[in-house]
Amino acid sequence: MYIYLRKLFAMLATVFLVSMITFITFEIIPGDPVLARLGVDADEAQIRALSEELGLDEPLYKRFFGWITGLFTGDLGQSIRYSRPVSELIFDRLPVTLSLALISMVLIVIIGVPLGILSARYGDRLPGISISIVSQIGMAVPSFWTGIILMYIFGLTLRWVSPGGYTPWSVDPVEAFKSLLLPAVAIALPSIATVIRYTRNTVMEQMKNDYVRLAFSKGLKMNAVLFRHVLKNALIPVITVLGMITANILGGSIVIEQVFTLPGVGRLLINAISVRDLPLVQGMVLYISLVIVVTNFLIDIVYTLIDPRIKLR
Amino acid sequence: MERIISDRALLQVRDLNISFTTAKGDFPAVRGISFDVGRNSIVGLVGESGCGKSVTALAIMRLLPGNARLSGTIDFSGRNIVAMHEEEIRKLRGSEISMIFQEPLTSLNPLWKVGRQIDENLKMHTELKGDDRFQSVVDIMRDVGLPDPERLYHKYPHELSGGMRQRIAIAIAVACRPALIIADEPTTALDVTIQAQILQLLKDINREKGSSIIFISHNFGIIREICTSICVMYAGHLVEIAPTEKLFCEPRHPYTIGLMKAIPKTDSKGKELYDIPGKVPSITDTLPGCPFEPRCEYAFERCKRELPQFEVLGEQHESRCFLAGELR
Repeated sequence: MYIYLRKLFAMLATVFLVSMITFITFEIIPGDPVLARLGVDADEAQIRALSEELGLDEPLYKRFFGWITGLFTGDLGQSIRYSRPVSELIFDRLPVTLSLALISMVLIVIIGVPLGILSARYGDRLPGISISIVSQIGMAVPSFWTGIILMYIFGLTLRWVSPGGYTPWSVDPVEAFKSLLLPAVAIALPSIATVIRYTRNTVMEQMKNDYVRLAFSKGLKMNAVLFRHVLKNALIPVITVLGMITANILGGSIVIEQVFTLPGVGRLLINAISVRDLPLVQGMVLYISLVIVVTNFLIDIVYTLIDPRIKLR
Repeated sequence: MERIISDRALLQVRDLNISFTTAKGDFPAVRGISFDVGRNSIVGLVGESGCGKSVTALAIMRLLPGNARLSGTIDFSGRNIVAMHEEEIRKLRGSEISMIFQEPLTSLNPLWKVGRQIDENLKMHTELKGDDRFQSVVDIMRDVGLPDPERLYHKYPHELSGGMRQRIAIAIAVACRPALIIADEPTTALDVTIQAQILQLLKDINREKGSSIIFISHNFGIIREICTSICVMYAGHLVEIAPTEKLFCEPRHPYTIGLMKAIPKTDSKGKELYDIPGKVPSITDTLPGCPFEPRCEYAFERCKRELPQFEVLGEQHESRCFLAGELR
């Protein structure tokens, strides 16, 4: 129990520090939310009035502590640009990002891990080499390009799916899935390539171990050795990478959401930064840092489930 | 040259050559060795590291990497292991021939409970199911001297001591009552007191279950303790074979004599330790003559040109030296 409390404290401290750094950064970088909203030819009185209304005339520390105390009541503040509560804006966008993340993670795991094992098994033979080459290409091609090509082929030419835009799940689940599939594939492809290479390397590394020789000396077949003995041992580094990928995708796929005009958190973040919508940026950063610390915490727990030698510290 | 061949041997290795094909060429690791393992016997393979003893063991299990080339025959109760199909040898592994490795911590799967690792053997090679199989695992664990096996069954390797882990590895090896167990330096990684216990356990298994054992070691003391006969290997060659006591009393190969001299003795305290001058030839060197010639204090002209054949010196005692009959 004590360990969990300590973990929780460390997580909160991380989020707090990240928030503080964001606050300070926005104080330093050029750009003014008031001007962004009123336009360059606004007069002095208008500017002063809006600054006061938004509380921007107060000193930095006061604003920061105001924001922190607001957090305890679940109040993330008002967005300057949208004039709506920040939490509402983020929650509106979450279903898109969560669905994208879920679909792409499923693709990454069910394609990346088995192909990685196959590639390790047939390392120097044709299947191994071809998987290696394809995954190398997959890592090199940027996802926005894959996205555009996918959209061109399946959206514009074959018209299997709509070339962009989003239908909510509540309206039409089939259409929703169709609108998310291509972007999910575009997000997944480079990560699939990464996971293949990781899995391949760790499996090949594990194959050199004595316990593999013992497994063979028991009379096990190659597949039994690979899937029963090696896979679990090779999983730890793969899980680490999967965790990083998950956190990344949940943080919003800025480029892909832009390419497919999806209303996800990535696009919200871009908008917020471009108009210096500090409360919204602050809220987004809070969301992203929470995603990362929570994912890491879950990964730590998964480690202990896989490997009895690892204890939560 | 007529070799001593006992028709009833469990394992007959004949003219076994093992080489490894690499980008830089073919490297011979074992050159034309022949020996027998009789039923109920414990045969020692001794030699310095790199002499080919572990490679020989892995060849018997057919567990060598893909770039290994084998020739000769390994006859195991009438079947030639060298020519077997993969499927055929796979069925022998773990059931009729099994292996114990040097380092019990790394040779057990760290993420599996130890009981399950023993259970896997029974699952593979027997019809036992459910509770019966669990009971068999527990019985095997008790047989190899593990206390409270029902509880230990659920432990992971890292939760056990080195000696207990090696007992688990032995339990895995003996689970299906194999005719032959290959033990590759099974005590090297253990404390001396544990070493003695493990040696005793292997002797008991040999006596009570009738499994023959090939015992690989570089330690003459341990080999003498446990083996019925000994094969001395040097640079991929077999240089001398003899029953244990014979070898220790009357070694007839200069290399064996050197190894004997190199064993520290209690009465030599304070004196300088003996070691054989020179070093083991590299796997890449191919000498036309005797491989030990450059280091041999008895060497003469002929040794450089010609590889000596085995000379039969007595019952089951052979030495591959021109001077075998004269050395004392």
